[in-house]
Amino acid sequence: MEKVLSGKQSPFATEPIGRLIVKFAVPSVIALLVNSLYNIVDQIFIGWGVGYLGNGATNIVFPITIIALALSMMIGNGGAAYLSLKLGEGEVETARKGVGNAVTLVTIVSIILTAIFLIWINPILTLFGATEVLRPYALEYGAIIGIGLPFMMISAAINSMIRADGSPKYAMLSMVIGAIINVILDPIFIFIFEMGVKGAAIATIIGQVASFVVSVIYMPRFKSVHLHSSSFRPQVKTCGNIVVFGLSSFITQFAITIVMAMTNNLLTQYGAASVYGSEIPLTATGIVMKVNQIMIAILLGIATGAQPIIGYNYGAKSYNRVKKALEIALIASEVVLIIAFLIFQFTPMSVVSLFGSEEGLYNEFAVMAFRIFLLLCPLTGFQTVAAVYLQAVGKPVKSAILSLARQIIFFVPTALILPIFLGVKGVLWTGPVADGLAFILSLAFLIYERNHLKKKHIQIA
Amino acid sequence: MKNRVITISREFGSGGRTIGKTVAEKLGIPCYDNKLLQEIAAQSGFEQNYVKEASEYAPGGVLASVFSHPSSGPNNADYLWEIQYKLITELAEKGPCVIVGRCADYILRDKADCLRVFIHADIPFRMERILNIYGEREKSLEQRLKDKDKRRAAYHRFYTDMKWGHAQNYDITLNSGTLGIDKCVKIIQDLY
Repeated sequence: MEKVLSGKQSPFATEPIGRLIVKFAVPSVIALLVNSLYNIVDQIFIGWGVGYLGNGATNIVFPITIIALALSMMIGNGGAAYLSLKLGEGEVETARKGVGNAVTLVTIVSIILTAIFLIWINPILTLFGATEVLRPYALEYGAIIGIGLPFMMISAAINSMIRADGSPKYAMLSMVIGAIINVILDPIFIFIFEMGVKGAAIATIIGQVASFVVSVIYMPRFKSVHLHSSSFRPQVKTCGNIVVFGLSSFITQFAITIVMAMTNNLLTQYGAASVYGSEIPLTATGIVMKVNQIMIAILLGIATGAQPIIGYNYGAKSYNRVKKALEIALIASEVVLIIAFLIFQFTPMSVVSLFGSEEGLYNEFAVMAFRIFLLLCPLTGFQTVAAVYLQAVGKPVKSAILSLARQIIFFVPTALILPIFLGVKGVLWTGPVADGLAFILSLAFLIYERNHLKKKHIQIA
Repeated sequence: MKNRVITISREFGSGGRTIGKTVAEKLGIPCYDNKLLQEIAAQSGFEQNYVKEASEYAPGGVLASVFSHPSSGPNNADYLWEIQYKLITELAEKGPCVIVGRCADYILRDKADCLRVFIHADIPFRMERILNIYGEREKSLEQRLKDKDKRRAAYHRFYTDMKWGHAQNYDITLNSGTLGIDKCVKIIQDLY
């Protein structure tokens, strides 16, 4: 993230809001997109080369990837925040320890996670919703993905700190190289060598190793701190601070894992009782969710870009600029969402057929999944912008509740209740119900905060 | 030779600021309070009332501090902390002084010869003081006192490795409720 000049000459105070948002949001949108595209491309090749069972298998394994990402983001973002803070204090020695300790911590954690996953791979896959049909594919894919986890985690964590060191382009390079290698190798392994899901997994981890190498090469080149070997010696206090600084990233991501595993299980359980069987709902919904993640990545990117601009101007009490930035962020999000909404409602088949050609029942369910699950997706823009606003006005807990509202707080109970009455379609209806409720909650929070703020102003006057 | 600096941490409404100012007057050294606030506001570009809140109080308990860092980028409070850290260090290098609050005890831990004071008092004393001096008459005053203290403690917890209000971190802790403001001033003056 770019370093902000302080004082009245800060670009946040002077530059046109529209240009500022573009400048800050575009890099974060790209960064988030690369990550989710990585996944989508994998899915497309597997869909065409292996079929929907291959895609189903990757959905079963996906939660472990998210756990890994959650842990590495916690340590990476925590290390990055610690680095910036200690550099700001001029405590270079402590800053150095922070970076070194973060690298050591993520290495240890990633190896432990991999060991746990590979030793208990069967029960873990069951927990994530594996059916007997999907299990052989999931085992083949998961065993290789498991080996790649440490490379992915260490590289992602170092990249966060590379960004904080003032080299966001280098961090991006590391990610993009991995993604490109994966995209090139995927078709080679899947179509030419006919290696199936195993080929997709090998392509993925080769990409991850490449990213890892690029990230590690940067380590001796850190601009703000010069790392010594002693910096890597773990200290309880430093590691504790890193974890605290990165905890919010972890909580959000980890909650998503639980929801994903739960949804997988509900879909196979209720799917079995329907004409579609267990595997079709699981796979089709998995694809809907991954496409949805592209949308969420764009929204989050806009929000992440707008956050510092809104935060700064709120602190400077330039309320007009705050309003303007909120408006632009909301409009940009809504444009993306409405385009997506139109595609999902009117030509869902064009998205579905990207992921391989299947027969009647599969297509029928996939189309239905896009239409129902993302029915109220235009409402999510309001929710993300509201979360940014609450963060700026110093209500971080409410902001976090909003961020989690759709994904977890409303999603989990709805997903457990609706299928009892509606069967497997009930799981799909969870999407719009959670979106609607989260929208109402955002509105309630905003109105409450506005009234509260007014009351405060009257008191001061 | 490091400068002699008195840092005063205080519970909300305990009279710590008044004590700091009076001590400074009697010793003939500057007390940085409002002036420091103005300078932080000028350097950050933030408005003074906002700085007053965001540079000494967490937005809630420890959990709120955690959630106020949603991504790896620094937030407003982090910028303020950086500016405050530099300014307090500079002031202490300039000459002997009294600094009220703002984690000065932590910031100057190895940069000045500090006399670290903590002022506290029981709730009724603090409520009455706020009522008399600031004329605030709220039913929820007690709640507000507790909230302010909680947020000060959370701020310390997040930005320093010290636990706010724990005796080990101070050279002396004084109860302004039982000793009275004047006596507290006298004691600190004698210790200087």
